[in-house]
Amino acid sequence: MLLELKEIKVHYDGLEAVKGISMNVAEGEIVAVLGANGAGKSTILRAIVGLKAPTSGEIWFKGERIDRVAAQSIIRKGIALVPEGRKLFPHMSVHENLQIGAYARKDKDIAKDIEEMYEHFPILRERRSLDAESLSGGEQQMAAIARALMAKPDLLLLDEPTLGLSPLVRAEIPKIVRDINQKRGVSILLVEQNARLALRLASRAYVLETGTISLEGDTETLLSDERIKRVYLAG
Amino acid sequence: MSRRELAKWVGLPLLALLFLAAPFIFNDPYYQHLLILICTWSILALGFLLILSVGQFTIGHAGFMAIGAYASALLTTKVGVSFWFALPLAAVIAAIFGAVMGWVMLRARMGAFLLLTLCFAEVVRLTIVYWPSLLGGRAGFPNIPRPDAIFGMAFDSKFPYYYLILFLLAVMVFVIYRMDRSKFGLTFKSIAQNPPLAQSVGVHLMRYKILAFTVACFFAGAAGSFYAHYLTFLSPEYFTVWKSLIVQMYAIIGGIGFMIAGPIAGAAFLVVLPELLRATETFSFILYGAVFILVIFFIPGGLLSLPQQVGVWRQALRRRAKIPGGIRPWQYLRPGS
Repeated sequence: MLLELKEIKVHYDGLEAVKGISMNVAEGEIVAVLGANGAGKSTILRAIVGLKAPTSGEIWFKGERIDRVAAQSIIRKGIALVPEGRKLFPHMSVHENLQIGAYARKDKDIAKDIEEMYEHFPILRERRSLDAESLSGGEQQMAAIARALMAKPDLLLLDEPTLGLSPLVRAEIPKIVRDINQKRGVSILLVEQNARLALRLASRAYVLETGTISLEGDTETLLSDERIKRVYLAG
Repeated sequence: MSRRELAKWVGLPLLALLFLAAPFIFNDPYYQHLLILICTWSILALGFLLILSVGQFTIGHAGFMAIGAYASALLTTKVGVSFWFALPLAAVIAAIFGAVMGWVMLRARMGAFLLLTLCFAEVVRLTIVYWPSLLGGRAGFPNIPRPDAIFGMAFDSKFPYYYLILFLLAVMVFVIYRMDRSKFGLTFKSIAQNPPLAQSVGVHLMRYKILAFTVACFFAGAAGSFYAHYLTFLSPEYFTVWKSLIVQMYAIIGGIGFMIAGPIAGAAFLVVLPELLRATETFSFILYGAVFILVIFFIPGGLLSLPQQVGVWRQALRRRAKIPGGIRPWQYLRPGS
């Protein structure tokens, strides 16, 4: 297993936001976490990257326990996060955002990799010297993903990548995510409210309800599950 | 030549020349005294802004200046060290205090940090007040020696003092400039703009916050040492909370978007303004308050952003729309950072 969560509990101000969940991501896999607002999806990601310490339970990554590792060291282990909402440094140019994405790297290939990101996302090359905050929602999402990839992670955590995007732009996200997974061999843990999109993309999924996993399994099984159909795929 | 290059190759040398020639242009001890104060407070205000640039708001910076000042006074009078050793030593002592206190205080969130710095500055001041046998107490610390002559320059007029403090200011400006231009610059920016994200790309927040705090305290200590030997007398009244607050005003009124020029411009403006109006000390506090409010409301980016602000006004007039704010200081102060 690449990533393994064992009985993770997270408290916010004494309130139990995540109530002892276990999940895992295998190498090369895309795994989705579904759930409504406040189900604890983002909290799990924050716990994995060390921004919020879990109250109990263990997190293992590549055979190493990481639930007490400081946030700034997590990226050096090979996990990069594209957070929800404020996903870039707003008053830095796109280029600077990509540069700082490689902050934890020591090698000399950074300039080459930025160039590669521009090949992959041509729109970012056009916007390279603009402040990140002046980009559109879709462009920001691409910039944020490119920034995370600059760290050359083995595992990419995506927090609601389609939130706030127009339907047209939203339709591009699955292709981008699949590309990253297949061409770069990056495993992906995807948190989404948009169940239809997430289930199409991932091979396995966990359904989160008020801090506990209510359902888990292959996406094909889940897609035919009556409850999933009624609650998450209706309409 | 582009406008940027013009500013760099013509503007900067002219400005440097102006600073160098200032005591000759204003060849009067009183004006020279004001010039010296401008440089001294600029160092403090630059430190304030350096700390703000990693997302922390200090209102106790005068406390570290006091540490430098009294350390230097003690070293020269009680230990018998020359001023030229006492000054760097005092700066290092202030920096050590800064590093240790920073290590403790910077863990706190913005609001708590603000109160902690305030408390620390007060503790420093009260220590001075209640330790008269060593630090002179309320009555003050008298007979601090003037600096010994150096390079054939005796400290018997304002000139050498001015050039000494200008040198210290220049060193600080150079250090900040180099930090800004190196990888540090981007790192500091990232911390100010989005702390959790900075951490997730691998920035060790605490390390950089302590670094910025320590550098700021180092120069506050150096300025304090200078101040002690310039006045040859120290009183705890020089280092009250008001001093810290005014230092913060210098930076904000000058413009916190201007990492180096802002605090210097603000200090120059606020030191000279009460003199122009022949204000007493009490009145100058009221004046500062009024200026502060006016600047925040009408030129939220600070005095140096006036050219852009005029552009904004003109555009607004043309569109007859409401004036959009520009950069307001509190936008830099995000909760939870």
